[in-house]
Amino acid sequence: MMRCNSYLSKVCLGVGLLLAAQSVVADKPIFELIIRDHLFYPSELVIPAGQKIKLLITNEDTTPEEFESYELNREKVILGGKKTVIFIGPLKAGEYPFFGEFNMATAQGKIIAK
Amino acid sequence: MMKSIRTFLVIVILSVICLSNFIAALQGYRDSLNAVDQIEEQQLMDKANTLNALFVHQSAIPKSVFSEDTHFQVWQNNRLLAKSNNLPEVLFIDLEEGFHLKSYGGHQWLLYGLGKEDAELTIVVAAKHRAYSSLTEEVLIRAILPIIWILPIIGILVWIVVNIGTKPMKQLANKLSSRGVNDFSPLKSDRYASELLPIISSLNGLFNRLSDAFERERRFSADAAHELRTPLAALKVNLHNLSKNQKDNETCLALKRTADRMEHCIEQLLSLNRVSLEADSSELVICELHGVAQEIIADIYAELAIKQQNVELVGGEARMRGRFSSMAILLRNLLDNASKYTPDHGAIRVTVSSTEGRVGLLVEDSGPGIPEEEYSRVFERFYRVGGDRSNSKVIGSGLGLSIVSDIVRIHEGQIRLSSSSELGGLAVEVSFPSISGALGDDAL
Amino acid sequence: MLLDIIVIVLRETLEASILIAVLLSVSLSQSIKFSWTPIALLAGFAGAVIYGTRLGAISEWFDYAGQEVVNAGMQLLVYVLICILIPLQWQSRSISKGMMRLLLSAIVFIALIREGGELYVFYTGFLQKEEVLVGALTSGFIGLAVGLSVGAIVYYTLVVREQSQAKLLHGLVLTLVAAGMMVQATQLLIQVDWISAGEPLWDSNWLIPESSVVGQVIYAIFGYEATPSLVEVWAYSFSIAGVIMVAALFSQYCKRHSFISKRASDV
Repeated sequence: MMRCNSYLSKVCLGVGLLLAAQSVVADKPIFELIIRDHLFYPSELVIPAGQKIKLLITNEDTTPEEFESYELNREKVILGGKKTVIFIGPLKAGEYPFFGEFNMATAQGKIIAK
Repeated sequence: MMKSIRTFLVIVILSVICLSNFIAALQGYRDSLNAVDQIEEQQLMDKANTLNALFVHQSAIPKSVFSEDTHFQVWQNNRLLAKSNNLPEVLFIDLEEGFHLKSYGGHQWLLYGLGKEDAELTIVVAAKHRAYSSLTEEVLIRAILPIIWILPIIGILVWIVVNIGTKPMKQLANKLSSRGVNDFSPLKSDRYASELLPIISSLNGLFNRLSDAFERERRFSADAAHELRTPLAALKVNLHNLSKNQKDNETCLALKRTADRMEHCIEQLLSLNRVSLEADSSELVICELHGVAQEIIADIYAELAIKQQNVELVGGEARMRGRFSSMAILLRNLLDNASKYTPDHGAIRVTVSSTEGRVGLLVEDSGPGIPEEEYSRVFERFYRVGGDRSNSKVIGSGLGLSIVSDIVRIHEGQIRLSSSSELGGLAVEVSFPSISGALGDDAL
Repeated sequence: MLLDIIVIVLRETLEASILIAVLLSVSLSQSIKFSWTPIALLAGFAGAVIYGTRLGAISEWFDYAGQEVVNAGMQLLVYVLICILIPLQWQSRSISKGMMRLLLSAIVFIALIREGGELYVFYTGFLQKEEVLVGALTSGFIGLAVGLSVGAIVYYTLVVREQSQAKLLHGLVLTLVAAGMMVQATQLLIQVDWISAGEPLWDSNWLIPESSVVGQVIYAIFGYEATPSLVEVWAYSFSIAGVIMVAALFSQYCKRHSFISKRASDV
């Protein structure tokens, strides 16, 4: 039992280190997205494929918005007048629609990975 | 395990209605949105093609070919050739062929770029994206809302319908509870809904088995009692002969007492059997309790006279629906009991009363009575107060009050024991539902 | 807009409603009275409001990763609680009943904070637009009704089972729910780069689109993900293995414990 535990913890540690190393080493380009009048600016964002990027989202409205995308598996609430950060990718080349869940009728956009 | 079938049905039916409506509405909304999107795209393409044709034939394009909601720009070799009046500040220069979404001027726009990469000419047309989606949505919302508001009404309707649907169960329950005590006849299966038939058939099976068991038990005790009668009679004759030769022999007297007790016990067993047999077979007639009481007192007067007990019958006519012989057995047992446990020179009083809806029979004595904690046990078969060792002079089988309570139960009456306030002994109070006197004058 | 509101409220309600339905069924099969429910619900709503009002500040923790980290933490907590709850079902001692009531309440409480907090933030946006507030509340009510309908159907589906079958089914559904939560938690941590994930392993959107009603329901119950990465698949598998391991250890412990207590009573 003891041996099993220590083995498990070693594996966990190894995986953890690996993950940490990856996220530190990667050099992540930063992209910006602005929410204004329940619209995304720009509504089409071109990012490099196969690379993790950092997306800075600023909500200039007074009302909250939720950045959401089924294709990207991302979901995050951004309160009015606040900004936030999420990481995306690495993505295969293609189009990844996203939308503002609180204002779905207008807040539509897509990320294009090239 | 479900707590209530009704709640289950109402909630599940409402949930299903709610869900299916919503899913239908959502599907409808998505379909119509897709259709609208396709029309939007088709229109944009048409407009772009029109512009293209216009440009090819005459290089000057009017600034307002389309309505206010449509923007366009025509580019040639990175030079803006023409654009709509209400031109957006944004320049759609590096747009690729096909459809795009773009936000500007507080709106979302659908863009269509026409012109291959190698072509000199690029035409971009933009229209407000999903300008009519709110309309589509409003139509749908108006369609869903009424359904949501009438959900409570549907709920009430379902409740009522479920109530009606479960009525056969209630009827069956009523039918079962209103059955006679010894009625084991099978239920008629053609009168019930098919869902209840499994219950009916298993109930009928149960009735059958019960009826058999009941019959077996009854026949056994009756047969046993009958079989015992003959040897007992022979025993008594032999005892009689024996006692003639040896007068005043204590053993002989004791034997005789025991034989008497045995005989009494057998008689009681037989009358217990007769009571339950009667309950099945004989019809109810109108009994007049005062008269019955008079007859029974006359029957046992000799025994009462030996003990010099004073018997008093008070009250007047009281009619009830019952079986004459059962009533006679009941009174006989009550009076026997009273006489047995009342010392010599004691008093016994029988009161027959008739009040609104009930007839009552009260038998009181001046004996020692029964302790209150024994009241419920004395109705058990073969139970005797104080056990078998008590007062061996009194002949008793422990069946008397058990027979009485059987008769009372069969006639839907009530029995209550208490202590007589006037005579100081036991008071047995029996009451039955009465019938109006006019009904049965000729029946007696 | 209104339809979108229905969908938003539904999405948040659905998960909580299904979880509560399963827990109520567990409660019924353990003959634990439902008296814990209103208290847990009220506490959950209060917690949701507090969480919602603090969300702005929380979001800025850990270099804008606060929201994800706190959410993932709550999901991990629910996972642990469910791990303890599942084997307790087969215990009949009175102490496990009290513990179960506490576990049930705690799970509902945390689940409501998570789902309710987001709804609270969503509705604060409407307070500034009074003209649409009534419509928004109506739509919210419809979304709530639809969510509760699914919960009711789940509840009755579980409740009509035989007792022994119900326990197994509870265990199964709760395991999947718990594993789904761990996948969501993993996803949140990927989102803020606390965990690194590769490209998606597959795309099952052609089979069941994640945005469809069915997709949303199985997302809510099992944490369905149309385009999962390797890390998420591992998280799911490990979570299920974790539940099974806890159950096995627990039953072994109980066997030993009951053996000891039996011997003690023999002496």
